Amino acid sequence: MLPVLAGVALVGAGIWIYNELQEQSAAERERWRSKREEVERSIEWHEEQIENHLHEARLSYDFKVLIDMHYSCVKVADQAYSLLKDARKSLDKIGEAIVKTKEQREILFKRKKEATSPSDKKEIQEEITSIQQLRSSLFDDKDEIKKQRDTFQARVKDLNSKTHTLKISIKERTGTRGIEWYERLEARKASRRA
Amino acid sequence: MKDINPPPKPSTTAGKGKLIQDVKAGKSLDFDKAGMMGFLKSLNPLQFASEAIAQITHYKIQIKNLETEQVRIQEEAKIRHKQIDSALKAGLQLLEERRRALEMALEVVAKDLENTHLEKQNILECISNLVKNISDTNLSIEEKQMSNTLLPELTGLLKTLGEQSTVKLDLIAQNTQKALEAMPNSDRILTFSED
Repeated sequence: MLPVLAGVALVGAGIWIYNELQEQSAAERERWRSKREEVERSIEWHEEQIENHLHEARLSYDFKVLIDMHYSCVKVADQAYSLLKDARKSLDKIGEAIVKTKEQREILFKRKKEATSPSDKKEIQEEITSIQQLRSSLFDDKDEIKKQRDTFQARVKDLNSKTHTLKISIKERTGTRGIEWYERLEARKASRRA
Repeated sequence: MKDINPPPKPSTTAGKGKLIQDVKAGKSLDFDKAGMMGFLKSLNPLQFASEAIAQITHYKIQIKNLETEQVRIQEEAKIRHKQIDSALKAGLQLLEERRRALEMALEVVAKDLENTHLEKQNILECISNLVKNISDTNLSIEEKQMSNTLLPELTGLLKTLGEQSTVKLDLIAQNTQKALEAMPNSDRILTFSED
């Protein structure tokens, strides 16, 4: 009887150990799976954080690059505009001189017609010749300065277009700070115009 | 022969940009229960116990490994964040230095052009006075001729100053363009090696 009981107890113990080991093994496997998922989620989270950080850093850098470019472009454009204004003033002044010489030449022609003495006529003719030479020289210089004005005008146009492109790039490519910068710039411009 | 313990699939983030190295996630441990040998093995209770203990030990080790990996990932992420901050700081510093150099160059040219502008203003004023002389009846013919000779000299000077200004403007525009082109873009400054 005793050996039978011992056998049954042994089998029972065996079954208990079997179940216990099976449960433990399944539980450990499950813990491993969930840990693996947790680690994978953690990688994804860190990757996203790093990507965001990198993106922000790139935006900061691009913002600075574009701001510097914009600043330089504005400065050069200001110089070009200042030169354009000078060229326009010069042209106006030469134009004024050309008009004045034309008026004076007309007066001299009239006076020459009216003059009776040959010495007066000669003197007036000398003045007319001098004025003609002056006019010819003024026209030459005017043509040259016109070319310069056109060059400055083209430079100003080109630089203004570049400045505008940069301004839009800052607004559209550098995130919130770019939009804020653009709005501040436009507000400053509007207040200057008002 | 078919491997019943194949390596695990790479983690989902792999290939995205490798900001963080892949995890050594380990693999599951299974024993071959197929066929006659598997059946005979399953009849041996000690065989089963040894396999179960091996599996428990294996998973415990794998979990420990994953915990270590988790710490590594955190540390690696910290390093990446620091790398980004340092690269940005260095990049911005470089930009600042270039900006200052460019600003100084622009100031020099601006000053030069400002002087030319003042010079032109003076010349224009002289031209105005000489233009008045053209119709001034109180002046003698000699004085008028002198005035008429001086006037083209001055307009010629305006022309020369304009030419010089064009050269200076072209130079500064080219230098600025070169300086701006030399600025490295953010992809070059803020990037991680794939190696």
